[in-house]
Amino acid sequence: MNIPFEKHILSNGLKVIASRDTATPLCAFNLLYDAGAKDENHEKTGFAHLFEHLMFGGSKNVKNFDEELENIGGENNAFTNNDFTNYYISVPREHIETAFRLESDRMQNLTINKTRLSVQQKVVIEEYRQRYLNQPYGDATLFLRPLTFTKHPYGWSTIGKSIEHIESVTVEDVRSFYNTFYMPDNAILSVVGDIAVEDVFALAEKWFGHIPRGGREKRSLPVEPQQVSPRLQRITRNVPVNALYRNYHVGGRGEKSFYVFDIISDILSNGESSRFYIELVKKEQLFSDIDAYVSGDIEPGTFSISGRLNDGVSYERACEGIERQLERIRSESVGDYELAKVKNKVETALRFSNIKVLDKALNFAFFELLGDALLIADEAKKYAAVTPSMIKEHACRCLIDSNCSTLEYVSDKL
Amino acid sequence: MLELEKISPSVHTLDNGICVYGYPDDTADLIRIEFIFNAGGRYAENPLVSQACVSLLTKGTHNKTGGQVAEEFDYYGAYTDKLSDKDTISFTVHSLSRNLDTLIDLCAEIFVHSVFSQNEIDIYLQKNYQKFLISKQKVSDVSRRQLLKKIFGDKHPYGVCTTDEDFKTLRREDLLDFYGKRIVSGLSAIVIAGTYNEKIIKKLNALFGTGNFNRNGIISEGADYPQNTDTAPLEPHFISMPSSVQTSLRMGMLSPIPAVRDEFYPLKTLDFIFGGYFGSRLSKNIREEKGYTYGISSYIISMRSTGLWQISSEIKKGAAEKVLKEIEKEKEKLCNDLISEKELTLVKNCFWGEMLRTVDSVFDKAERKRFLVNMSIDETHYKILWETVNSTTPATVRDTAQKYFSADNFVKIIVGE
Repeated sequence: MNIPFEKHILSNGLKVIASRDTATPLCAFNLLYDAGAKDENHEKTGFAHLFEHLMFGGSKNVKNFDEELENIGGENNAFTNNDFTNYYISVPREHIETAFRLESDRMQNLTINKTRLSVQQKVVIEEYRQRYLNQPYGDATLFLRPLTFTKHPYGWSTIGKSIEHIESVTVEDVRSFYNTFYMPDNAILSVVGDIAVEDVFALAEKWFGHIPRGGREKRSLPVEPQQVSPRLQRITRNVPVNALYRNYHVGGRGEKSFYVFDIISDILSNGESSRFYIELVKKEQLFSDIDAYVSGDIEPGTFSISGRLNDGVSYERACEGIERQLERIRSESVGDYELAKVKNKVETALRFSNIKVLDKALNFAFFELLGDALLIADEAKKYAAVTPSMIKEHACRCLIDSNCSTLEYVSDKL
Repeated sequence: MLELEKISPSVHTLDNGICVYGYPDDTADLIRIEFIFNAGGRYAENPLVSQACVSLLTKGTHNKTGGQVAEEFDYYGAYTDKLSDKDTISFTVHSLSRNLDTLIDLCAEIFVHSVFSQNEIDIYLQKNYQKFLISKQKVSDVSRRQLLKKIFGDKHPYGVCTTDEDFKTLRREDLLDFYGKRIVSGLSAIVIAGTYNEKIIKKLNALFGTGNFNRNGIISEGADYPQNTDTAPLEPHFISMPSSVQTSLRMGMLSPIPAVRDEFYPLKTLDFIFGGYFGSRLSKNIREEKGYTYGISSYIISMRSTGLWQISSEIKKGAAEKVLKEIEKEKEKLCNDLISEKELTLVKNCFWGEMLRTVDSVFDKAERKRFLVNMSIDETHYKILWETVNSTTPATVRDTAQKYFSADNFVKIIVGE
C-alpha cells in the first residue's frame, strides 16, 4: 500500500508532510506535538492532557478557536497520550488556509490566564470522574500502570495519577510547558486533501516559517529496570464480576518485535476463531470475555491481556487457562493456515485505516514521529515477514511469568 | 456538493423487489456490505431475542459448526458488525474485495441455515448477563433506561428494557421463531460500498433475489406514533446510586420523525443550536463557562415510529439543580431573544461542514443509508435538511423554540448520589 506524499522541513525545524487526495471535498490538517504524559513532572501528572484543553482557549489574534473553525464548516479535536499530543482539523478544502492561520497563532501566541485554567481544571476533573472513577473497572489502568512501570513515566495514565495533581497546576506551569514543547521544531504537520503539495509547503512557510525554533533539550527518560519476578496486586471494588488484567513488558512501536507481538495478540484474541475465544470462552468457559493487545507505545510498552471471569471460576484456574495458551505459543509452531488467517485480517484493518483523510494525515504524522513517514508503506511487509519461529522466540523471551504484572480486580459481591 | 446524483447510490432491484444500494469506489479494493433486516426489539416480547439472534448468527448452521463459520469469516479477513436496535437488525461485513464472493456465500448460509444450538445460547447468556450487571452500575445507562420507561411505559416496545428475568426466560424456540420470521424472510435492503462489479450484483440476485427472503422485509412508514399517556412530570425523577461520584442528568420528549417534514427539520435546526455541536448554547454555558461537566449535548434519536429528543450529561456531584436551572435559562433565551445574525451564520456554516462529512467517502454514505432505509426516506433528506437550516431566520428559531419549550414537556431523570 503506497500513498504518495512529499516532505519538507522548514528552516525552524517544522516538519511538513503533504499528500494529495482529489476524491474528497474535505481537507485534513494534522498537527502533532512531540510532548505527552511521559514528559510530565511525576508530581504533576495529567498535565500534558490538561494543557491540550487550554489550547482551545484562544490566542492573541484568534479570540475563539472553535468558533472560527465552525464558521467555515470546520471540525476539530485533539487527543493526548503518553507519547504525544495531536490536534486535528477537517475543513472544506477552500478554507484550508484558515487552519494554518489558527494553528500558527496558537503555536506562538496562546492566551494563558487563570480563569481559563481554572474552568478547564474543573472540566478535566469531571472527565477524570466520568471516564475513570465513575465507570465499573474504569480505574483498573490507574493501578496496573504503576504496577508494571516502577520508574518509567508510562507508570501513570494521561489523565494523571490523581485529581490533586490536576488541581495543583499553576499558570506558571502552563507557561513553562508551552515554552518548552509547543515549538515548530517539536512538531509535525501533515495535510491531506485536494490541495497541491507546493501550495501546502507555501502555506506552511507563510504561517509557520517565521516562528523561532525552541531548541528543546533531548528527551531523557528514566529507564525501566528489567522485571525479574512476577508482580501481583489485588483490589476489591463495587463491581458485579471478577476481572483480570495482565501486562508483559515488550518493545516499542518502532521495533520489529511490535509486529510479532501484534500478530500473537491476534492469534489469541482477534475474532471468534481465535484461540482465547475457542479455548477459554467456549470450551473451558473460564472467561465470558477475554482480549489480548499490544499498547503500541513509542518507548518499550506492554503486551496486555484482560478478561472477565465467569461465575465460580477462581483466579487460579483463570490464570492457568491463560498460561496453557501462552505455553502453546511458546512451544508449538503456529501453522501456515492460522498465520495466513491472522495476516489476512491485518491486511483488511490496515487498508481501512488509510481511507479517511483525517486518518491518513494522522498516520503520516505518527510515522514521521517514529522516524520517517515513509515507514507507512512498509507496514504490510513487516507484518508479512513475521514467521512461526519469530513468534516462538519472542513469546519465550517476553510472555513469561517473571515479566508479568497481574491485577486482580475483585468483586465485593462474590 | 449535495447534488442528489452525487450522494445517491446506484439502485439495483433484485427479482423479488429487494433493493441493493451501491456506492462504488474502484480504487479501494475494499468492501463493506450490509444486510438490513426488518427485525429488532419491536418484533419480540423478550427484548433479548433480537440481540441474541443477531449475535448468534455466526455461531453455527446445519452445515457448519460455529467454529467453522468463525474460521471462514476470519480467514477471509472479514470483520463483522452485528447490530440490533428497536426497529432493525443489521449485519455488516468489512473485508478485502477479493474475498467478497466467498463471504456473500457465507452470509447467505447463515441467514438461512443457522441452528442456534443450546450450548451457544448458554455462552451468549453468560457473557451478556455479566455485561448487563455491569451496565446497571453505570449512571448513564441507568438514566437512559429509566427515561425510555418513563416516556413510553414498559409495555411499549420502545420503552421495554431488559430485566434479570429476560435472561432466565430466553428460549431457543423463541429465537428460532424470530429468526424464521425476521431473518430468513425479513430482508429489507442490502447496502454495498467499495470495489465490486456487476457479477457480484448478479450473485446477490441469485442468492437473495428469489423466493421469500423479503416476505416480512418491507418497511412501512411508522404510523403508530405512540402517545405518552402519563402527563409529563414537571419534577425530576431521582434514582439513588450512593457510590456514584458523578450524576447522570437526562431529559427527553417525543419528537417528530423526518416524514413529518414541516416539524422535523425546523426542530433539527433548533436542536443543533441548542446542544448539537461543540459551540452550542448548552455546551458553551455548562461546560466552557461553568465547568460542571466534561460534555453536554442534545440530539434527536429517530426511530421508525417516533423521534426522541434528548439532552444528556454526566455532571459534577451536587450540581444537578444548578445545571437544570441553566438549561431552563437557555430554553428561555431561545424563546424570548432572537438569535443574532452572527451566531446564525456560524450555525449554518458549521452545519454545512457536518453535511460534507456525512457524505464524504463511499463508506460514510453507506454507513448512513440504514437510517434512511429505516425511515423510508431517500437522499432528499439531506437536501431538505440543508435547505431548512440554510433558510432559517432568527424568527423561525424563536418560533420553533416557543413551540417546543413553552410547555415543559421534558421528562427529567437524575441518577446519582
